[in-house]
Formats: sequence, structure tokens, C-alpha cells
Amino acid sequence: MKIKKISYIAISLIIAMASLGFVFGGWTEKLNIEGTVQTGDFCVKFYEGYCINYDPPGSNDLKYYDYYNPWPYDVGTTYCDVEEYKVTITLENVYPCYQTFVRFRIINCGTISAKLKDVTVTFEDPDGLKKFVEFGVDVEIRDPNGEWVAEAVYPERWMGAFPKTDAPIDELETALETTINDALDQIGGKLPPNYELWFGKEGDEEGCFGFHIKQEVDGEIAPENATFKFTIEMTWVPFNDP
Amino acid sequence: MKGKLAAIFATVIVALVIVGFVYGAWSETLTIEGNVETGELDVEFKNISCSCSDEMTCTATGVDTDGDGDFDKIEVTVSNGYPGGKCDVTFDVHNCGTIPAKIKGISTTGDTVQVASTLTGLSAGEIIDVGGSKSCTLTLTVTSLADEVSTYSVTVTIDAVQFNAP
Repeated sequence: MKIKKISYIAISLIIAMASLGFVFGGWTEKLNIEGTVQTGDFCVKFYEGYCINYDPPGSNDLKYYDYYNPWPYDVGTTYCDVEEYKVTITLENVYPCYQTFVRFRIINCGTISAKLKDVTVTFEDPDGLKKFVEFGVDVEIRDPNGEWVAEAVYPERWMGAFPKTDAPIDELETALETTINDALDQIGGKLPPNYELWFGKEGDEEGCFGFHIKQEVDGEIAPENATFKFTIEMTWVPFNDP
Repeated sequence: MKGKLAAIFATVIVALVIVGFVYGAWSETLTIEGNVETGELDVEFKNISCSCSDEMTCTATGVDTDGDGDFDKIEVTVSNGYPGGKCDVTFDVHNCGTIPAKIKGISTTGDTVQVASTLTGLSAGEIIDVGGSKSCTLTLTVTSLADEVSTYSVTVTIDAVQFNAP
């Protein structure tokens, strides 16, 4: 009898609560916000296959002080291979006072502006050739309309041939960071989509990435049959990267 | 004898009918007519706009999905997103009904790992008076887990009930 009573009460309560639930649950409003986010494309790379080489195989060597009038000899050779993410520059059979220039470019091929985060230069110098190698670099930026909008050079001082290839190769890392960022700062600190950063300005014989082998340093003559290798790594990141 | 009883019975009935008629003539009738008009619980989006970090773009459009003449949905499209980039969608949640509305809950579904969302200006339990509104901002942020050249979707749902709902 007692169990029956409790059952009745329980059923009554359930019915009552269900009724209440029905009343309150009946009136609701839903507001929705549907967001679709399409991410952009971050792409910075070398312009593959484009390298202007001033002393390719088969060309006579350039003179240090008068590179417009080459030597009547093809002794040293410069190789320049530009892949999407790697540029390899090789100087072969070169000698004291050899000078060479190359020109290549980086393009922002994405939809997001890029900034230079870091440049790392590493050297392999088993024969002690490094201290005889000098360089000079000219960085220029071209907008999508083909206008040259920024320029920075290293070294600033005038010595030797033009472009200025009298900076010790030890300064290469600093030089690249400085010149690239100086040029970028002239257009807001970032490389926008479809802008190009050139090492050497197109059509300008006096703006390139150049190398020079010094004849003598501290009374020491540059070694023969020597090999010297350096690697430049540039890290580009989206413009808002902290 | 049988006929006598029948006569008495008939007389009593006639008497009762007469008495009843007399009392029935003096009566009052009270009528209560109940008309209940229910109110309307209705909230809508108003004043919708959006803006983004540099180089990102967005559009935000109100949609009337139930055909009741107000916007109950916002469609947001963000382009060229990148990690750390964000878009703010601003809007008002307006009570266009006749009953105070209580925000029962706010939920987010979808690709929330790649696109983080934060709603400010409105929270569960808040009541919006009739005719009143709350200014809100929904911030969509592309996280570092988002891939390049990809599409992600998130849906933020705001549930409203009448103010006295438990």
C-alpha cells in the first residue's frame, strides 16, 4: 500500500515537472554567427633560374678597377645556380684580384607581407682563404608596377671597384641584415605580396652582389688551390611575427 | 390501488416542476471570458560590421533565416588570414520581442583549434529588456595551428529564452 502511494506521488511529480519543462522549453530563440576563415599564402622564395652572372663559363675575366673592359683571358669562372630556396655561387680557379658579380632576386609570391627574421652565415674555410675574400652588396626593392622603391648598399665607403666589394666576408651576415632591413624600412618594414627584393638592380651595372679576392692581407699572400665555402640562410616570417 | 399511486406520483412531479419554475425565474448568471494573448520572444542582430588586422579582409552580412523580418544569423567571411591575425565582428543583440529575453547559453562549434573565437559584451544569464540591446564583439583569431591556403569554419550560437525560464 505504501509503495503504491509513493509511486503515485512520483508519477505526479514527473508529470508536473514535464509540464513545467514544456512550458519553459517552448519559447527559445537562437542567434547564429557563422564564420568562414580562409587563410592566406605565405611564400617567399628566390626567383628560380634567374641569375645574372658577370663571369659565366666562357667569358673573359673582369678587371678589378675597370670591369667594363675585361681581361683578354678566361681564367676564373663564376657559377650561379638559383633554386627556389637556395642559391649556390661557386668561384672556380680564381686568383688574387679576381672580382665577380652576380645578381638574383627574392620575390614575395604569397598573399601576406613578409619580414626578415634572421640571417645566418656559416663558413667552411679549411685552407685559410676566407680572410682574402671581400664582398659588396646592393639591395633594391621593386614594386609590382616595376618601380624601384628602396635601396641600400654595403659597404657604404668607397674603395676599389664599383660596386663596393671591399668589405671583409666576416661582415656578410651583418651586411645582409643591415641592407635588407634598411631597404625594407624605406617601405614600411615589410616586403608586401608581389614585391621583389633584388641583390643588384636590373639594368644597373653598378648594383650587384660582388666578390673580390684580395692579393695580400697582413703581408700574407692568398693561398693557391684553396677552397672556401659559405652558406647564407635567410629566415622570412609573416610581417606580424613577434 | 395502482392507479392511485400513479396519480400521486404525477401530482408530485407537477408540483416540483411548478416550484422549480418559480425558483428558476430568480437567478443570476456570471460569466468570465478569458482571452490570453501571448507575447513574443524575439531577439535579433543589428548594426553588424567587421574589421580586421592588416592585410586580412572580412565581410559580415545579416541573414533572416526564419522570414520574420529580422536578422537571426550573421555570415562572416574572412580572407587572407594568417597566424595572429584577427577580425572583430561587432553587432548588437536587440530584443525586438515583447518579453524580456534571457541569454541561456553561448556555444561555439567548428574548427576552434585553428580559429579561436571570443565573444565580449554578452554572457549567459544576462537579461535583455524589451527594446533593449547589448553591444557585442566577436573576435576571430587565426591560431598558429592553422595551415596556409585553407578554409576553416566556426559557428557561435547564442540561445535566448524568456526571462523567467529556470
